Amino acid sequence: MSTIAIALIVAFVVILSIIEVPKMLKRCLYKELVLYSVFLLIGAVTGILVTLDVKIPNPSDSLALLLSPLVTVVKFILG
Amino acid sequence: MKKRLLACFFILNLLFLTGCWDRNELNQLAFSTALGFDRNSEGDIVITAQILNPRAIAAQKNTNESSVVVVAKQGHSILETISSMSTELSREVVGTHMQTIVFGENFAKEGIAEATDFLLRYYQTSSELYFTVAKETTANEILNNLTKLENDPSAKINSSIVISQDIWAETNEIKLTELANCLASDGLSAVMTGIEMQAEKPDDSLEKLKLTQNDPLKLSGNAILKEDKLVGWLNEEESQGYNYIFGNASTSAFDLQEDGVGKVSFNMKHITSKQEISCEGGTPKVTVLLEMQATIQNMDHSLDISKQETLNQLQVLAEKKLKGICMTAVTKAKAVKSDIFGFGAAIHRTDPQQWNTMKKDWNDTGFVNLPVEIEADVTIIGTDSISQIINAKKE
Amino acid sequence: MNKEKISNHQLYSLTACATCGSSLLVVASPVTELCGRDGWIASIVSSLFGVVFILLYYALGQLFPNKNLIQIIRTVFGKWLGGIISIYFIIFCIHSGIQITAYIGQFITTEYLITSPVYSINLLILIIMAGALLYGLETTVRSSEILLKVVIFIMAFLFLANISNIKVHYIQPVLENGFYPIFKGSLYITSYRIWPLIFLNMIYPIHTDNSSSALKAMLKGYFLGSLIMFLVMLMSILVLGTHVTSVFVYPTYFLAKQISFGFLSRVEGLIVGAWLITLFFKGFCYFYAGIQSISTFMRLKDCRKIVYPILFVVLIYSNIVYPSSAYLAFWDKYVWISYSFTAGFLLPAFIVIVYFIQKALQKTSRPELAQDSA
Repeated sequence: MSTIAIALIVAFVVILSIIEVPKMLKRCLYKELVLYSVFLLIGAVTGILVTLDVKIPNPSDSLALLLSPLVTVVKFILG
Repeated sequence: MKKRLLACFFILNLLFLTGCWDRNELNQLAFSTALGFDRNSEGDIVITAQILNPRAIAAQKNTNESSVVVVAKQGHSILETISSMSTELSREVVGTHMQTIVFGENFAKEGIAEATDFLLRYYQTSSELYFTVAKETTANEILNNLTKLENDPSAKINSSIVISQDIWAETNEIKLTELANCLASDGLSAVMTGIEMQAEKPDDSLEKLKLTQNDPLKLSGNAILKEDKLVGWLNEEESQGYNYIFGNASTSAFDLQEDGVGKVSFNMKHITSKQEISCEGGTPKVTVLLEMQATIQNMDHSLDISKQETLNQLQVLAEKKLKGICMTAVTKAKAVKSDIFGFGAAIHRTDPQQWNTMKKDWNDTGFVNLPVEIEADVTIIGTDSISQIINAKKE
Repeated sequence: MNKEKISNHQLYSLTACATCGSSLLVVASPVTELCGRDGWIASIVSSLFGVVFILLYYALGQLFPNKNLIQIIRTVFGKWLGGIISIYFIIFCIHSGIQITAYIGQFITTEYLITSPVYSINLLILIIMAGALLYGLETTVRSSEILLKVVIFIMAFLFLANISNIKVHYIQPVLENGFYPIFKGSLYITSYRIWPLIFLNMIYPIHTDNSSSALKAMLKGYFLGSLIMFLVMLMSILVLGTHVTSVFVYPTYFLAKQISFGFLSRVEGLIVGAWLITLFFKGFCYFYAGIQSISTFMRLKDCRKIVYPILFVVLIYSNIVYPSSAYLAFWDKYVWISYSFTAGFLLPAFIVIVYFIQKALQKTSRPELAQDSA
């Protein structure tokens, strides 16, 4: 199951790049290319790690940490 | 060429979009219309599922098969037991068309909270679920019977409950939401219809169906629950009192027999009831105001019912009888210490501060000591089609 | 990107769908937990309270015409502080979009497709979302005009069909515990319904043509959404009772199960359809705001190139963001209120305050310029 998922992720990345990257290079959209590759890399790596059952840090946890003073206030208000 | 590749790619994507995981083919599903809960001597749950037999119901000509198939299994928990029924059936038991739930008397005495929790959580439950309790028997016995007039026994039980509550006021129609609210609330206890077996148990169900005998199942009385456990029964008269206090019936019939008047029976056309809470010096008092319009259905003595005085006399007697019926219900509820009328909830609505002081142990102390008064107002609006008794001249 | 213009009626229908959002199915339960049977009063209070915020968002657009939110932030706060705040806003939009996808997947796998993996449902929704984002704002907003009518029809049907199931005594006694629980409930409702509408500021001044009647359109949409939510709250309490509403995870779904007239029963699929529509538009608003923010912040020429990668990341994270129902209960109640408070209240308030302070400082530091212009 995990090999199928990894193969699908890689296939998606490769096919999307084949279609999109030449278009971006032709129009000299370098910033877009950078952002595109960054996000695709994040997605692919995280996806492969998820299929391998590696625990990914939850962005909600970091946000909860960032907002912890406000969360204490809200906890006090809501009881 | 590129477009052809793209088209192939999109068509291949359809493989992922057609939902292969949760396919349910109709011929792999067993639709259970009634579920029975019992407890056996070892403390396990026994679940009886009454499953519709599509071959018998949809057949053009009469088959010799019964319209329902009954499967019973025991286990520690409910979902485990239902899933294990797959060892006896060739199909998966599906609860989407469930209409009736029958609790065995032993099961109800130990508490129905677990079963109700399961039904509320289960994603297949519909809300049109009627609850009943088996009287002096197990749910297994009740569900192992076929019924006349309807192919589907649970449909027969349901329509019997609804019609009987409406015209005879003996049963109580309670569905999943109401039951959940009763279990969660302090001031109202649940009441469920009771089913019992007729005296003779048929040995060959299909053979007996061919004779024009009574149905083996009969609805009789109501079961009183306190919190979630069965604590007592309301008999026929007490059930009527309960339904009158709630105003659940639209018509009903009762008769009275007095020395001077003979036997007169009334057909009640319009019943409304109102509960009024009044507080006198810190102790609340409940007054139930019943208003009823009746017509004379049957007489055996010759009375001059064209005169208003006779009608007034009959009205007073009817009011007395009605109060008596309702008070028997209240006395029974107080005897088993369970507030089935929602007087606690009514106090909560009118006077929340008073309720806060009384709500602890409401069923055991507050309700039992609550003074309840019933005021009935019967108006005889007519005498139906004939005015005087037919053999009046002969007397 | 900048050439897209939407009309006021489209702004109205988008606001209405986005105000309903996820609250159609979920909000009745925690609000009833917080304030008991007075949840409907909390709904009214928060609707009235929310008008202030809509006016605030409108004022933002009036003060900075033809700028979207990221440009406003950069103008007011400068490059570095503005950059940090922009990144926070981008994270807010994308993270909320991930949560919305997670909601859809969880609901379908709880009630309908039990054994399906959550990713399959999320993939379907994100494919449609990608289509909507690639087609652009105009097209999607036009479809919201049509679909809003569908949603109104379905909700009206839900309410009318349930009238026979109402038990008025479920709503009594009113105001039993005083006003403080209602304040708590309305705080919760506000954080779901009103503060996320900050994403309208990515659409409002820059893509609409007639600025003054845009306020009327936004208010109309907001009131329509609030009316639907109020009726959902009211009907849940009247038909189901307080205890049942607070216990169910999806109370409106159970409310729809109560409909049965003869042949007309088991119509809860309709409600799921209405919820999916409103949730889709709210998710679209979040993602559109997020992608436009990224492209404005990084000064991209074509914002459509990053749609696929971002939605890919969203798909992967959609099953990570809510690991369990206990986490969901904690996060949705406590952290979300703080989160949308910062993005929906503190952010626009600070922008307006800092803008006025800057203007006052400008006037005092250059009095001769002021005299010249006067």
